[in-house]
Amino acid sequence: MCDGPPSVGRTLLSAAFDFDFMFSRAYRAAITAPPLLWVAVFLLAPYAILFCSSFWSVSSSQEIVHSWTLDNYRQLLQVNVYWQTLFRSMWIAARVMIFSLFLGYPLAYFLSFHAKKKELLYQLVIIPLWVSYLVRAYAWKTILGSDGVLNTLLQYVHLTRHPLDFLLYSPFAVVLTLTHIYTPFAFLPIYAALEHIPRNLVEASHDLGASPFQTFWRVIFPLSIPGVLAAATFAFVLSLGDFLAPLLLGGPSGIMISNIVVSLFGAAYNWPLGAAISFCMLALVLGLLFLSESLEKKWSFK
Amino acid sequence: MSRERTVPTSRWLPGHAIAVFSFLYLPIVTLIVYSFNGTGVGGFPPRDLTLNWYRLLFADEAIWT
Repeated sequence: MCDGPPSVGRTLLSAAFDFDFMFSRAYRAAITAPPLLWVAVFLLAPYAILFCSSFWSVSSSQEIVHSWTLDNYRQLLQVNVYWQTLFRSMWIAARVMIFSLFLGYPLAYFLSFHAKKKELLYQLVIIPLWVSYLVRAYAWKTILGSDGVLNTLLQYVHLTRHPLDFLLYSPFAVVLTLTHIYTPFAFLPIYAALEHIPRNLVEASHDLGASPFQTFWRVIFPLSIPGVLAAATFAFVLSLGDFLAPLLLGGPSGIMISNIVVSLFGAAYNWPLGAAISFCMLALVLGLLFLSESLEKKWSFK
Repeated sequence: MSRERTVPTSRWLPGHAIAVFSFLYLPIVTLIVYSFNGTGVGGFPPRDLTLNWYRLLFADEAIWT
């Protein structure tokens, strides 16, 4: 950057910080060791223990036997409930992903390209995140219940005579609540991607005779794909592993895989099976992350 | 501004934004409104508006200590 003779300030600076030392191998090792240690002890070690325990078993006297077996994984493949619940969770997560993209993308596009007070509107998207997840889930319970706000409103205006019972304790309630919770998460990366599109590309497209719709589909949308992928991954992965929304609003038909894991680690006292299911989910999520990462690389223009 | 003509716009976009914002704020507003509701959880319209829940909240020692 500065090719001229070193200025006084620069000389002082390099006297204060020994640059050779700063970039030496020892310094780098010293500065990366604590976080690496932290990750190893508090993240990798628990995963390793969990992975080991997925090969253990529970004896008839309710003790965890530390002998290696593949029974848990076999059970996972054979018992229908686990598979069905896993597929239902994926289907719920997929719907949450699609709905939050359809809510988030046009909103992000509107804010980035058309809105007058975009800072204010941006803050308005963030504010619901400050309200506790649990409080918002309970609020949906108040709205959707058979004596709740929505049902009594529908009867008040004589649209229905009896309370609609599919509203609460159903997959519908879970999808609705999770969409509500993850729409801001889907909005943020899309908005960031749209904001980073150089506006002169849009003007160039216009100058070269593209119609507004051509500009959108051939310039803006392709450039926003990394944001869309990040948003989709956020919404899908976070809602796949969710257990509070199905616990509070799901009912028997809206149970998700995390609820099974929670009950296996709790009341059922079958940690090995719970660990095996957790590991299958972890593998699934890691696969999705790699997929979205490679798609993102393919679609990012640098 | 010239940008208005270079990218697509529609009168549905502000409508969609308003819909999303109402969806995001509906539970929060409901929660605030129904905190003044006299007859417990739910029911429309809110009835017997009261500050009783707040009185109970501020009178509850266990929450504040």
